[in-house]
Amino acid sequence: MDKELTLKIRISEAGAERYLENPRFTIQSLAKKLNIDTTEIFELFPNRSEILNFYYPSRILVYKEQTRMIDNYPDYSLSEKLSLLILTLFDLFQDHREFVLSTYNKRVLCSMSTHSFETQFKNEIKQIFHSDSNISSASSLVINRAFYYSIYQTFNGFYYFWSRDTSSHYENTSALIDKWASFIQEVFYTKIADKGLDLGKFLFYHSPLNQFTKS
Amino acid sequence: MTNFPTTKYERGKIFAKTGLKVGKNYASHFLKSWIKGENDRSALYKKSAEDLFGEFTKLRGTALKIAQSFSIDQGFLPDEFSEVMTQAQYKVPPINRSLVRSIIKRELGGYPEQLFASFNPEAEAAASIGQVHKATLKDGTVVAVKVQYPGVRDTISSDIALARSLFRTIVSKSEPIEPYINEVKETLLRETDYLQEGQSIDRFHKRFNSKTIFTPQWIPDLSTERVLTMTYLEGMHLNEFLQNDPGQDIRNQIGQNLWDFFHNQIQDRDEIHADTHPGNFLFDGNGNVGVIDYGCVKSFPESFFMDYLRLLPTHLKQDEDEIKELYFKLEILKGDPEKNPKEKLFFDFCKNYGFTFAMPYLEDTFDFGDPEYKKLIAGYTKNAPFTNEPRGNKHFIYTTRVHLGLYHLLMKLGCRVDTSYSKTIIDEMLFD
Repeated sequence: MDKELTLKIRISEAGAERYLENPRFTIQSLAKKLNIDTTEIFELFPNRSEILNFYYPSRILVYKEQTRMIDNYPDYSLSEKLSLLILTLFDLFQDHREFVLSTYNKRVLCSMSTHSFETQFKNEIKQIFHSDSNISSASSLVINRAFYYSIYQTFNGFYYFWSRDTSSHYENTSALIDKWASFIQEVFYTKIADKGLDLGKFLFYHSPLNQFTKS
Repeated sequence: MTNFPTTKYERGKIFAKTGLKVGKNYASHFLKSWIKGENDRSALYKKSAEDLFGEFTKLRGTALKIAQSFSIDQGFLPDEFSEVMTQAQYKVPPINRSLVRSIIKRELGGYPEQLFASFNPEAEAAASIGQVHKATLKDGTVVAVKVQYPGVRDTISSDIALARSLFRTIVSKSEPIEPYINEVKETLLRETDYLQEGQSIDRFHKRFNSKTIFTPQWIPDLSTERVLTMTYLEGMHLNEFLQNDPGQDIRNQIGQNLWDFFHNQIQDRDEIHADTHPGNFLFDGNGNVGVIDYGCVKSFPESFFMDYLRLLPTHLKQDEDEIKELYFKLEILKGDPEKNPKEKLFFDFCKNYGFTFAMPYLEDTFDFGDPEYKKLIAGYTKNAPFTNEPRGNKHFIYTTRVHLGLYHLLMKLGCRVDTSYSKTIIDEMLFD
């Protein structure tokens, strides 16, 4: 991660903390907190709102940086990769839980345009599914933009669950994510649909319907 | 890699499925033996044990504890069952690597790659409550990091509730089962507190770490209630050790160390490592014994414990009046055996079993490798008089587990043990 990006992430995290102290904090007070010059912040962000907005896509960047440090990450199964992404995001959200609880709905879910967090989240999901060679051919037919969106909506469902989770260390949220990821893996790794398609193709080629379409 | 069922519905469903699978195995076996006239039960036992183990590994927690008990209590079940169930001690499918990473972050405040110089995401061993990962600290110390499965505490409560209702249907309504159930529940729940386990590791390390017994050292800075870090012990588990066909001398040496370790524990009248199953002991090839897993460490009330120990010399003396008196104190007998045939049945069984159990304390050496002795012990377990009422003080659950577990380890090792030192310890405790 380059220096500029690291600074941007630092600013957004400090902004999240400052927001809880005073939602209308000034850039000057943030610069003071970070012990940097105000101009350095303005070179990276036009205003306070952008700093707070960047907090969410920056979680994906931190997650990506972390996966680079995990040995054998490419060997992870689909469920492990999915749960790694979602669990890491919630681990990171946990560090600024109060900020996330008071801004996620307004800034991400109810954003007027597609929030960059949504875009980057869907890109990660796309990456995970496209790099997995164990996914059955038939299942891969349903992997498209609508599918990525549905996973993103599932993530929002997890967010809702996490925000109300009273179990120790949010154990129930982890368990839910683990169960969901295992289920998705079962669905996408199963070869039943492949075999079904194969059988269907065979029957079609040897059916009167095929003779009719040929003629 | 599997996810972990935590709800009552999921767990109840798996219990039911297991019953159906085992029932199906028996039905098909009886059908085959009826049609073909074959009656080889070993394949049936192995298949049923594998099905049982497969489903229990999904449940982990209490169910796997039961599986572990099956592997200790040889004699009660066919050998094929015990062999398969031995896997329950360390060969359970581990949980998702990402989940392990997240648990460590939440518990220790950092990801494994940040906290350790190296961390193996593949579990070294996985058992009923948690799984163990090998890691290296930044100062180069090799450690074992034990990570608890999420939600395991809740599953213990729900499984115990399930077991309670099951026992209620079996056990006579007038008999109190609560003390037994509560004892098991409290012990299991205590096992889920890794900070308590860490403190036990500390105490056992100070008491017993020596040339012949090696124990881990607790690392409190990297431990919480759900993650436990301790120094890593190298060694082989019993089955692996026996596969190398070790000589009689080394078997005897190991057996002696185990026997002395057990008696040194009781000598202190303090606390006892109460989980004597093969998965909790490591052998280094030089006759030394590593003791791991301090989740189930028990202290018994002094009066019960002394009476329990008194059973050994009393059975050897075969003085029926003294035996009877002890049995009443230990709640084994509920009525006069001379007047009540059911009590007489219990009395005769326990008196003979007790004598056999005390036999190692008769002479100065005892050969646990003697196949006749193994048969004798197994025979008692198989022919125990089962009734619908619980017998004996609730503390028997764990003293028997420790003592019988030790005997089974020694019998599996096939070792000869010098018992003179242990007899001195017991004599000093009882008569000084």
